[in-house]
Amino acid sequence: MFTLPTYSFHRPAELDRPLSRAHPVIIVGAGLSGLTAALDLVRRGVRVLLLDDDNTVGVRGLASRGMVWAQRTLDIFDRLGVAERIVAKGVRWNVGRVLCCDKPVTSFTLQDQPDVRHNGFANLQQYYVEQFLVEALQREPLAELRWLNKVSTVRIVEEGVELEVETPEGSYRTRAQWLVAADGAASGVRAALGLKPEVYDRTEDRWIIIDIILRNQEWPEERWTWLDAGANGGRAVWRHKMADDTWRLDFQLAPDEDPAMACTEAAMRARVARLVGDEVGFDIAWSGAWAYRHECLPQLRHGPVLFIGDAAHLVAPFGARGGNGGIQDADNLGWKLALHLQGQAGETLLDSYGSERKHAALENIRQARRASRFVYPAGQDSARLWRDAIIALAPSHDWAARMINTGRLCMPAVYPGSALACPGHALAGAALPNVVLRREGARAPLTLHGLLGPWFTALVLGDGLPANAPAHPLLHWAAVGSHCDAAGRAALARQLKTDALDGSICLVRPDHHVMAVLPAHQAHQIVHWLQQAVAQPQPEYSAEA
Amino acid sequence: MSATQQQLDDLLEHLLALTELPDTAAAPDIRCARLARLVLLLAERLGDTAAVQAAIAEVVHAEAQPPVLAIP
Repeated sequence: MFTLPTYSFHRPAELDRPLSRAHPVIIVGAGLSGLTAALDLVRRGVRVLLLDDDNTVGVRGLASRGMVWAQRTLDIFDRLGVAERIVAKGVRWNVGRVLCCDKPVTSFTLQDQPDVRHNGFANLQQYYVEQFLVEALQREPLAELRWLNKVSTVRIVEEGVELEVETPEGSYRTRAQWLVAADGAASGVRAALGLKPEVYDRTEDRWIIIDIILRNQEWPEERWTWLDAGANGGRAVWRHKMADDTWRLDFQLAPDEDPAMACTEAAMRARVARLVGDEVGFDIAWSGAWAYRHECLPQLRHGPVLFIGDAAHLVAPFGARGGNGGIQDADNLGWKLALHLQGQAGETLLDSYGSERKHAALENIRQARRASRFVYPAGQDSARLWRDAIIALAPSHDWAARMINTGRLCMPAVYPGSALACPGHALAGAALPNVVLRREGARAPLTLHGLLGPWFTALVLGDGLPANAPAHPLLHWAAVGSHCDAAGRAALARQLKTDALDGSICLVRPDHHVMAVLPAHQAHQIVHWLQQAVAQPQPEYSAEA
Repeated sequence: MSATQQQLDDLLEHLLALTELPDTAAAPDIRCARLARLVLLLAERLGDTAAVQAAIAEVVHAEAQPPVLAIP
């Protein structure tokens, strides 16, 4: 059985002497989004202080809800150097089955994606992902992790943010130019600043996770979803495989069920046995009851405080949009904050973090609401009417089967209305797919992201750089053509939704989102676009775009 | 042409909106009336009475004997 690692408390310098100058960045919360943001920032040359009120990964008694890491997350982790460990440790399934009233209603097989670096997703307990991020940060000289450091007060002051922090050896005061609040759904930073999220809906729908390890059986590595399981009183159940031969069983509770009673060892064992059969031996690895709601802060930036992850927005877990969304928040924020702190971008670039990621959060909420309504229509007559019709037709009609929505896996955010995207091409605002660049005889194929620089990249979709390629300290030029043979070019064109590699230029942001796609003869505009992105005031996100 | 997943999900939203009504005594009747009109319009668009009759027979038959997908 896995034991969560514990990290030592080290006496903070501020307990013995006053701080001479403010930290450039303090991140509150060493969860998924906080750790990702910290790693991104230190890799970009920014000194980061990370404060966490616990001394381990996960959350004691609530650990490891997240378990599905989407393709975009794996691409981000590739850039940060932790994807390989996650994929190696994780599990991937290809076959999903949906059952209703204990009868199979549909199944699907996920297609392999040989054209891109990561094949779909990886299933892995959240505490492993967090542990790998912590270990990566511990090797970074610019990162300081302070465990058992609980932020008690937050005050916005003229030069940034002032914090009061409690530790086992007393409390201290510290300051930061910028504060990243990554302290989760019950964000203390948010409360200290008197900020309230907009609540889009909350339901009485409650669930219990019971992670089990089988003793005497093996199940196929498939995802099973029961929409109305007889063994669970006609309510939903999920079954997923994770690392260490651990299966996640997630049971929907009855409306009148007491979660505390459902969490007793005897009740959990009985519940699992009803589903899997008395003959199946198992150990319980972890358990926890949970509920969900949909909410988002009206503004993700509040002066020098930037909210990321669950502190900024909450979403039902159908489609794995919580953890994956928080990681995309960190990815979006890191380069903007780094460029600003290094004096290379105006403060208004940070406003684009808020507008872009709020747009993404609302899309995640929209998608998750659809799935949660399908799984749990509750008193909504219209939703139940169509759900029941779809389930009835699904075994014999592909259209109906494809309408079954138990959660559409988190996709990369697209920012078509962002001030940083130049409309006119299907890729503008989208994340650049990490296409494998195939060339016969190549020892190890490169990927598209492998050609990108640390900041902006002018990626030529052709064989060579244009004669008039302008230079800029933040701009890296690369041409993709020479890295692919004919089959590789065809795969690349397919993934990039373009007819051919015609020499056009893709201006790619440091987070690998595409700003613009320009014809080769407009190469001179690249630097203008780049300068506008980093220096000029950003208008509000355009919903019409 | 096969619909994309996004198109199917969006279509379901429109269907839900069609039958989403305030909870009143008249709601079931209004819902049925809307569905009946939708079916007639779709039948007209389809222009194939035999196909419509086959679909009707499938619905009636399915109530008597629900189809089950064979999953090993």
